[in-house]
Amino acid sequence: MKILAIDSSGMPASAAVVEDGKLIAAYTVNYQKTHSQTLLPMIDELSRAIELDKTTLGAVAVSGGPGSFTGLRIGSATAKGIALALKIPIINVPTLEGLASNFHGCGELICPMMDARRTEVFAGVYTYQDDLSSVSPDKTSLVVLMDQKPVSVEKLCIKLNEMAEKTGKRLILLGDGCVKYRDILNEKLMVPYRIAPLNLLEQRAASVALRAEELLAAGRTETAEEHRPIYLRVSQAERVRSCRLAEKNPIRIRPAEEKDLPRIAVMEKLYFSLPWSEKMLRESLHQAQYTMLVAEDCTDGEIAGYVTLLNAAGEGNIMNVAVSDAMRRQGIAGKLLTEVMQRGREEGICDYTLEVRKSNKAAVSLYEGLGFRTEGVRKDYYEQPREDALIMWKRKEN
Amino acid sequence: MEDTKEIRILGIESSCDETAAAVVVNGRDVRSNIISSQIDIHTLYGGVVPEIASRKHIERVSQVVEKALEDAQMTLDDIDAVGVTYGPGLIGPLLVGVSAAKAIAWAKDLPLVGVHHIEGHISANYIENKELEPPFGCLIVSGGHTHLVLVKDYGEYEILGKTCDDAAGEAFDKVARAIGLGYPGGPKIDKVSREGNADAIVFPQGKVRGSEYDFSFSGLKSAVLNYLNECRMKGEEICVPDVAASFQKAVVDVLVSHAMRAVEEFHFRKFAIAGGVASNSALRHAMEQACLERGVAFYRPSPILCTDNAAMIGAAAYYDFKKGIRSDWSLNAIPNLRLGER
Repeated sequence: MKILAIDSSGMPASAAVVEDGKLIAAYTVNYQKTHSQTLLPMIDELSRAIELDKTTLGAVAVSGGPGSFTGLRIGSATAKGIALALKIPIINVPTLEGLASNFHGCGELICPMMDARRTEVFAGVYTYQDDLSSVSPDKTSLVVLMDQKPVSVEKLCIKLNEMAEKTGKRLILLGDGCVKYRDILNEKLMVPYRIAPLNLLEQRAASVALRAEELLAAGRTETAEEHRPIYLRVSQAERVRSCRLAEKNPIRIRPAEEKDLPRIAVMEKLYFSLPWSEKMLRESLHQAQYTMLVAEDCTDGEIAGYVTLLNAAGEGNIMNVAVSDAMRRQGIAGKLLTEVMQRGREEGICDYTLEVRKSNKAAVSLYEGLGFRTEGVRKDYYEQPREDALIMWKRKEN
Repeated sequence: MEDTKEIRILGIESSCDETAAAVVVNGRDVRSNIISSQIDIHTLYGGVVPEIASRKHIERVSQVVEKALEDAQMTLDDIDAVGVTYGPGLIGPLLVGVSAAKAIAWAKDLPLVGVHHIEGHISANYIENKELEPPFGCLIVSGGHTHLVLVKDYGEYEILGKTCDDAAGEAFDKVARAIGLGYPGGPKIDKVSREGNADAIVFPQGKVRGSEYDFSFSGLKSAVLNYLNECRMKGEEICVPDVAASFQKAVVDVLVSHAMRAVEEFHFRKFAIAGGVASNSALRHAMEQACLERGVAFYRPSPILCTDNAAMIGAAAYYDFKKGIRSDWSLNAIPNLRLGER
């Protein structure tokens, strides 16, 4: 299948076409000119060079974020226009996973970082499984050790020091952030590291395409309608407003509705290694044994989090609970769980169970605070990275 | 082969807080007109927040385009060209529409026509008035613009006058906020004014010394604020309907008097109004009356075509398209694009 990949998340504008593992064309310009002027002429020129029959494109991949808000929207709007016109899916490649793919197959610690201003970077930490032959075709070989997020350069250094020491792996840095914050990195990183050479330093659509092929194989596509950029930060106006309203408690817990599903599906993709698709969510929404609640931010109507409860023959299984990055540490997950269990009790459910990543200390302590106790371990239950699940129960007698 | 082939244009508009798409045939026949308004969100902030507007545009742009095609019972294969607003407006919002329009046109090998937002507003008058043809005079009043224009021909304009500071709609928003009516100011002031006495308070008209067709609304806005302040200092009760009606009258009076001076000087036989503030009932009424007295045919779009919409962009794009105007793939959003320039 032919995939057109684009990246306009940062300074470089980049486009590439791949077909079944082969790079047919790539075009990158890293020059100060607005992407709105350069991106489509580049796509057009590249298509002419390979005599592209546009109707043979099978998908369009876009570096979905984080990045410059305007740059992301130019890329997303372009991807949406092409996808809707050609009736093809979009593959939303997290920008930092695209960058990590510059070092595809490398078993060291790969840390791409993009300048996010205010001495913060958008960063993630990745590695590749050593033995590529053991990777099944529907799973990707990229291992996400730290999912992309905004983080201060200093905190990132502490994290990288720990990870490098624990794993004994070498550290590779890339992205414009590692150039801009070279001095801080030099001072705070206690482990040896290398900065990527110029040909692998920044965003390139060929790497986006490479990651897109993997995501496509794993079925991770979206429609033009579903697609939206991954900003990882709310707008300034929203931040100011939510600070002002903080004491007025703008979060409202209510049953999920059809209109919430696209956003929930996006959050599933962002926060879980085995996300529920929009279709699965829709089926659950309409089945009586499921209770799905959302936490709505009343200031802007956005979905801040959600929880799904399955009534499995009188036992309450908490299937998934998530809160968006921007809205964490406000007690939203606790409110969602309390409310869903209250509703469960009305249905006669006394005992509740859930699974959680062993290393997710914040979540474990939240569940303990709500009366859950660890009763068992499921070996290697999670992937990306592979990890045990704790089985927790909250029983009526507790 | 038919030699009178229909030209079907997909119009896209995203210059401020409305995400819109429409299908227009031969510039005047609107087959669909989809507008997704963000007003509820921006009301929370007392005005349009560009970053939030941009985020909403990107969420909605493809749905709006698909719905416009569906309502018109067409697919992109039936479309002859894509028209899109590329300025003036807010840069972030404009870029969403421009980028999406370029991508659609590129993917389907369709011609692309970049449209001036004001030209769109003027062209809204063609949609419901099949007989209206240039030349005519036009007053465009909205939240971002106040222009008095001579429409010489399709796509050819001479700007007679414009605002030196705030746009008329902006003055409505600011005054509405000051008297506690909230956003959006235009419709709220219009409504509350109906219960007020327009002659209760005399506010200065927004004239500009030495340029008979230009406007200035920032002085008027300050006069209203001063009046409110004085009342508070004296402990006098403020009659909101009276303030609203008197302010509105001051705005309408200057708009009508400038427009009619132009009608007389340029001997217009036809005069049109356009833009969001053209929905204002007092302005419509006063303008219609003044035109009637002078035997001038008066045109104004229905409210749905006064607000930002894409049908007007499809209409304007048609006349540009017929003149052979095409934009290339490097088309950029231009926030301060001037009318009549490309």
